Amino acid sequence: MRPKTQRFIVPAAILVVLAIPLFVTVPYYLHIMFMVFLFATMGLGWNLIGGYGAQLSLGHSVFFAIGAYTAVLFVVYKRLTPFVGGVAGMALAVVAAVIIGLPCFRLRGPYFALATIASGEITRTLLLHSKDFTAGANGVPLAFHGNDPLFLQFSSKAPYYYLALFLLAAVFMIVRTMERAKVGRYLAAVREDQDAAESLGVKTAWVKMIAFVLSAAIVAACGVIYAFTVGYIDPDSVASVNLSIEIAVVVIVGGIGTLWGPVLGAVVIVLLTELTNMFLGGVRAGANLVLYGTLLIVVILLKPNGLISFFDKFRPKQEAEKTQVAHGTHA
Amino acid sequence: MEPMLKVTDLKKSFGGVHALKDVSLQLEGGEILGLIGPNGSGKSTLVNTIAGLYRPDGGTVLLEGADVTAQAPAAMARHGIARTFQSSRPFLNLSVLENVTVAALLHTRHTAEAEAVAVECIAMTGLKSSMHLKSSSLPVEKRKRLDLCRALALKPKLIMLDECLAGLNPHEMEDGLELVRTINRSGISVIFIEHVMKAVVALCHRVVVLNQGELLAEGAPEVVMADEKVITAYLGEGYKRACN
Repeated sequence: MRPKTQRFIVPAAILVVLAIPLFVTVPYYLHIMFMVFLFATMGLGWNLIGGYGAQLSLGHSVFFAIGAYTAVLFVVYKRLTPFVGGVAGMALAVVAAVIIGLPCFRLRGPYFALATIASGEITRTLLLHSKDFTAGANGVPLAFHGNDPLFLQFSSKAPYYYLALFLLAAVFMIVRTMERAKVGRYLAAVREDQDAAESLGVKTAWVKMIAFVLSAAIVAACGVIYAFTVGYIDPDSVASVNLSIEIAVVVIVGGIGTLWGPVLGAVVIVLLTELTNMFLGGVRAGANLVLYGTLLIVVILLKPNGLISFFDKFRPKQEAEKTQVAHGTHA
Repeated sequence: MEPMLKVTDLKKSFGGVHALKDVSLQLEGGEILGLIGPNGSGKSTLVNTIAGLYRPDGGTVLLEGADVTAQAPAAMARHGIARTFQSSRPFLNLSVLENVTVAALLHTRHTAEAEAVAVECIAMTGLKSSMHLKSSSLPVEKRKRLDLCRALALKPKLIMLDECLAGLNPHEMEDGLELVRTINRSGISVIFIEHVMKAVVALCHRVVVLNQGELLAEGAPEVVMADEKVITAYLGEGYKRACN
């Protein structure tokens, strides 16, 4: 894309996204957009460790659940605003990331992925069986007491839309800055060759931990926003291995280790999910999932470097190579 | 004055294989020490153990008198010990500049500062024309230079070069030797592992010979190469005849 065109398209796209709730009033459509922003944000967070750090995590629902449950339980038990509960949830997610990361970063490749799946299942089981505190499988509903910004309660979907959009923008800028900073360079080195990186003074465990912790905090923040938008959480919806996989799939389909990949991946995956549900959900049990899975396989086969590689020809050469780098197809 | 590096009774075993048996050596500041021996004699194990990649089973490593035994590779780099690998290991999907910048970031958190240091090192090692190329596209000789360049960007006191001339043609080898001399003249001590005896003799102030994990001989290159034990265990009678 030419810089002049880019200068025009980016502000225009921002204006369109900001104006959508003014023209689209159907809550369902706004909710779909909300989910796109949410998954894009989670994808950007996951990408820090899974993409830039090449540590395949399949347990990120742990952090989503910690953020969601902490903020909701703070409201239910202490009547504290989710702004306090949200910060507490993010802090707890950071602690959980350290606890998971310390033993798991000794493992490499598939063993790390297996260990993260295990940590996700442990969290889901704990939430299911701590019935006195979390209501177990019944979940925790949030009663609606009218519009109250302090408690993130709105009768319209538009404020949630803007909240998710703001979080996405903030996380996008953080990741963009991190990509160019020392820690980003070190992560790239770790992804390429851990032993060589160590010999150049890179404390690989520490670098991975920074990425993991930041990634956990971002996904926890998403959990908070999700809980107050939907108004109900239970272990299967916020702590399932399916959610962890979906976060990873968003990034893999969009373009792993790239800045825009998770955003594009979220648009495609969320829309694909909703469209297959809409048109095939009632036709035959599981038909929507069969089509979803088939389309996913086709996309991955056609564009193994992620859908973002469609745009390679519009980007400067060095930027385009980053897509190939992250997938190791340019060696 | 403390020696730059003092290794005492270093031991390392892999299962039943004793790769290093009480190896001791010393390297003075500004010295180039050749480390030679047949394949499997323990040269690379010694370098890996000094650099912290392997944990020794016994013995000590002192750097300018400070005990740095069994510290992690990242800590060793911070102490001023840099190394290259036997098979060159650049970050293949990063450019030459990005590769060297990673090393230069050891002393600063500002990427612009690190890039400036990286550019200096790249110029010094003759890689300027390849600065923006991906290291995967470099030929063997340039990959070896890149290894050396990254080590240099760490601003080390000591560089351990593990067969950095392997696979090079005679002309490239000459250039490589000159580069090592230039690095040494800037005050950096060097441990030079090599099988090309001509290069060892031309470059090293002193030579240590390892055989089956043990120190076999030590001294000036000409003296060591004439040692019967070294000829029998490593160089062979052919080398002796060629010298005569």
